[in-house]
Amino acid sequence: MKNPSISADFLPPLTVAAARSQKLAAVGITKKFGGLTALDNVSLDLARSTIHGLIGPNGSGKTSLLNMLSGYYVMDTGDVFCGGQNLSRVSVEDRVKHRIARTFQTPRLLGDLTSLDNVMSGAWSRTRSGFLASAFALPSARKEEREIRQHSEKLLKGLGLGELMNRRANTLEHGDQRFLEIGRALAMSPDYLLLDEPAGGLTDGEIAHLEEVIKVVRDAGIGVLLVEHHTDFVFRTCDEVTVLDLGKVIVHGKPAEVQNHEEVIRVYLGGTNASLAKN
Amino acid sequence: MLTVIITGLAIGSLYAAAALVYNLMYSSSKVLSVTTGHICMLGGVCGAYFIGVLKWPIIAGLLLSVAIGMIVGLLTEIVAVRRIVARSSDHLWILSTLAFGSIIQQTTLLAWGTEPRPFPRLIPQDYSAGMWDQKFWLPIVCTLGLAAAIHLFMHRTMYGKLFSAMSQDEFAARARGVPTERIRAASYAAAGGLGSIAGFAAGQLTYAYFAVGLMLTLNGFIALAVGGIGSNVGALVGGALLGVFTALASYYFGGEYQQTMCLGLLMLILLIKPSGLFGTREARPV
Amino acid sequence: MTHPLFGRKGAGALALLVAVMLPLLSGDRYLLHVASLIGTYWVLIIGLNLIVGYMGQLSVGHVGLFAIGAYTVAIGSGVHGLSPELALVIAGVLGALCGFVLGVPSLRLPGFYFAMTTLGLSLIVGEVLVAQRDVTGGGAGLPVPGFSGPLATPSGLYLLVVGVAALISLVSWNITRLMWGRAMVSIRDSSVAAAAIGVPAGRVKLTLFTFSGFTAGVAGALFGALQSYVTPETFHFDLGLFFFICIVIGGKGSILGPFLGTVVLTLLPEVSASFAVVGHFLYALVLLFVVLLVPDGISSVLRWLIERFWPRPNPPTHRQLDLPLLASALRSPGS
Repeated sequence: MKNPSISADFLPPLTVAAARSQKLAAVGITKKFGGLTALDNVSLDLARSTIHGLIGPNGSGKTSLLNMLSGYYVMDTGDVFCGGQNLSRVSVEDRVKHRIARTFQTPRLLGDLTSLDNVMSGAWSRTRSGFLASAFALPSARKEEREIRQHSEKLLKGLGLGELMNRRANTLEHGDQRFLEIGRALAMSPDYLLLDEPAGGLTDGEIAHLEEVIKVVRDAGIGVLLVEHHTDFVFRTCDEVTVLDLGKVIVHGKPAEVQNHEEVIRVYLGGTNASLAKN
Repeated sequence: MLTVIITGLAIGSLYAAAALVYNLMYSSSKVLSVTTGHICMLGGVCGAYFIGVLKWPIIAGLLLSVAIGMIVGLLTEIVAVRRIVARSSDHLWILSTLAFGSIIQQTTLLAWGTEPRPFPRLIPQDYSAGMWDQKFWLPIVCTLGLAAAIHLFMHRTMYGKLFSAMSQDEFAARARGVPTERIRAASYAAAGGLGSIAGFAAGQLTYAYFAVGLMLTLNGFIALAVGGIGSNVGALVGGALLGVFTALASYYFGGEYQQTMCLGLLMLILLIKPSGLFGTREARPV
Repeated sequence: MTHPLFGRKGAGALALLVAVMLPLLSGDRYLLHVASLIGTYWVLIIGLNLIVGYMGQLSVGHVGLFAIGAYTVAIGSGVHGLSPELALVIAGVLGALCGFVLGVPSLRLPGFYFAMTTLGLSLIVGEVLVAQRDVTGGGAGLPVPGFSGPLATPSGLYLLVVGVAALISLVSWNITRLMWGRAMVSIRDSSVAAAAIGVPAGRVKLTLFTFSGFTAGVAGALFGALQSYVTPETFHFDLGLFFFICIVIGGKGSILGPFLGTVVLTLLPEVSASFAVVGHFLYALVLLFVVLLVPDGISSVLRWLIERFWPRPNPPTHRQLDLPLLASALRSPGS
């Protein structure tokens, strides 16, 4: 595990820059599963107030990289930095302290709890009340509960789920569940929001809503990583895009550059001159 | 001293047989059935009843005991496993098999009584044989025989190969047309029969007693966990290890802490090698 | 948490009042005894409910902690002359320590392994009680002194039990409706979600196990005083299974459900003499029935009834975003 405080002479330039910046960064990540190389020397920076798209064909390693950033996988080589600290060996629960929130390809909600309870659960990392304070419902615990409830209600209404506040999460439609999961992630007051294929199963109208929500999140100062299959949605929404193929980064840049890039077109469409904007 | 080890191996072989039953049910359903120990117990109780009380010939008593074991095994699958597994709720099968196991235990308690009752002699032999007494050798030989029979079945017969295929990847097996539902039911029935034989063979060691069920459910599981779920070699080794360990510990430290020592061995093994001595890492059910 | 009906303070207070007055007014000593028994069971079950119903940890071994509580009073007060009230407190503390120990395996072992471990631990308690006959009286057991002063009468003991039960119920309710309750449900229903929101599952589990051990120890002490004599036989696995069944038929994530379950299952053998003989058989049958047909227990039936007779209107199909509200919420989280 590299120590960022060691003299810069001994570290490759990319690592120094990543360590010193206020970003969530993957640096030189390699991960093999048995004989399969899921990620091969992949680096990616996620800055605050940015929407960073991550696209690629199936099996390119998008979700693996997201899992690496959020702590569900441990890399073979490489590091993950956040705000200057090396998170490579930090557990998922502890990464939450670095204000990294995520959603999942299939929403992982607490089905028996209401929508409001689900969003409020996202604020767990912000609570200070210990067990005893809760057990005796001390004023500090009750105040905290009130504040979290108010904040969560605002998030739910903002996301258009106000009417579903007291419904059990497992009675919600798929699209609503996706927005609910985003609500829970936002309840953490994150610095970084990692979205794993959030448009999966959404209608066009819902995707339009999602686009608006993600932009508001970005404008609030949060760095959003958008892993997606809907390439047109990505190019419309993102400030920068990274394209993976077979575990390697093939291009990174602004959407306009990327969608007309030869390699990207070849990988997605098999070598014609067509632009991906027509998707 | 040798008697102590033989005693340990004998009770250990019953634990191993329970572990074999667990394995058989587990491999077709990924369920660890709490009824395992109770089915083995039934073998002993039924044998004592048919041969000891009704005075039937030994073969008749054995066959009927096995039949009852098979029926109870099949009932376990139908009642406690089938619908639960289809609904795929994580640990509900623990509750359903726990309930069914208790039903078996309580029924036996009500019908057979609360006290241990003697199991009849199966082979003419006087009681002075010491460590050559059949109450030690019958269970050991029986368990080894069962293990050999399972091995031959798995590797030499067509049905055995189908069964192995199913236990490794049920989805693929079903896709290939293997009738997984029927095989699961058959495997539970077979497991029930095997457990019953084991309980019958060990009857003279454990006496016919309703409480043997819970003890075997727990200790059979410990033997299984020590040996590694899914491994029949592990079941034999785990059972032998557990049996001999507790017998030796009882000899040196007194016999009042049987459960403590069994559980202690389990904790030790789980600390060192959580998947058991012969287990693979995937084999742990979550 | 946001309960539509069960969480109201008014309903709880009213139920409590009825519970307290009925057996006292009746003057029936037998009824008082049964009500006290339900109370002592409930003190244990309400703690166990947090473990099993809210956190999804399958402990069938809490009967061992119950035994430790009872024997602490029997030995501490009966044999060594400590005041019974002090022995009660020590019972709670000992229960808490042993509850912590019971919780340690839950950090590493998957469901079935853990259930078997708790079964084993409760059997070990039984073995120790029989083996250490110099201390525990062995198989013959020990007498348990009652409490002193006004608590020495059946009515007094009953009021003590009700008081303790009410206090612990309140504490338990607080835990479930605040953030800790949500954290516990996340451990039960989705360890992935729990990790994603930063719940330290190990610490939460151990804390709750310690608390449930405390309530079990206190419950055991009260039980011992109520029965005035304890033997190892009393604390057999069947009793542990009984506690577990009360929670399962009550339904997960509920306090009222398991309470009703406890009342019903405790009363059944008292109501019918023939039931008493086949009691444990019928408990197991009830468990099987519930698991197969109504796996979410009494509370789900109650919920179904409420939705049937007081249905809520369907939610509108159009979703209306409120982006300014969302932006303002993101800017100021409020803590």
